[in-house]
Amino acid sequence: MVDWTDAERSAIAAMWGKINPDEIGPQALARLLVVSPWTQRHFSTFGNLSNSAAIMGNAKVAAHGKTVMNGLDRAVKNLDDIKGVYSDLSVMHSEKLHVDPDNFRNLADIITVCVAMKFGPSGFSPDAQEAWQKFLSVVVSALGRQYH
Amino acid sequence: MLSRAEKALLVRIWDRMLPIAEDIGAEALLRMFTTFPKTKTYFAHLDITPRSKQMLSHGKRIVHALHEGAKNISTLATTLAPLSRFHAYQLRIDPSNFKLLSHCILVTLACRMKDDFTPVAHAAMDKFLSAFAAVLAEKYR
Repeated sequence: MVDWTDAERSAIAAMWGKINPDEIGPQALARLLVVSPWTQRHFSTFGNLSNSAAIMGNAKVAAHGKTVMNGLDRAVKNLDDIKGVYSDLSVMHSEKLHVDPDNFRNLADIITVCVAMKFGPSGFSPDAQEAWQKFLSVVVSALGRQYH
Repeated sequence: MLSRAEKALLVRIWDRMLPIAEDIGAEALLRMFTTFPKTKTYFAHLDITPRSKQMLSHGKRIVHALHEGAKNISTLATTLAPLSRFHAYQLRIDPSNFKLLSHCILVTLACRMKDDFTPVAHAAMDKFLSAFAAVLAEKYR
């Protein structure tokens, strides 16, 4: 069980309330493919990923970004059982998608950068960053848990 | 690998940050200490309360070093040799921590630059900070 302080619970809920997953998700996934191009190995059917502009404008990347980011909603609503909530998703990423779990951390860091860009130094204070990153690290851990 | 355009972009960004070096550096450090408490173990000898004199001065020093590195990317190992030695023989900070500070530098820049922190700028900066960290750890063993 993860120990959340009251401050962390409210910071996470507040952040999630301000975030538009349909906006941040596409940006974050596209940035992952630009900043860490080796991650493109999982998206060979997504069409043109040949340069930054193509990736940022790619409709399949955007759609998938929305799917991934909206997936965080279940974790926000179930902070005390993120492990349980993502158990099936973890199995799928391991056995069907064959995704290296290091990519989850990579994407989490990039989501954090996108959130920082959106909310600036006071909207995304160091304390807000701490709570948000703790939340994402629990998500990352849960997604990697069923790998063996 | 950094293209010529990326190198020029990095110089522009760090030139822009130089006048507010204290603020950028101190914010990145504060974000790192808050998000990754284990990093505080290296600073037991300093006052790391937010925007303390020591945090501002330390932050400024870090940003100045990054700026210097950006101006001399093709000779990073030579430019940073004294810092390399300092980290290897005196500070002996576990290199895993360089990634943590690098991430917090990216977050600080993203907060300040907003949409100006384009995907291309983000990628270039991430590559630069990794290269910088690698040079800092070069003489460790």
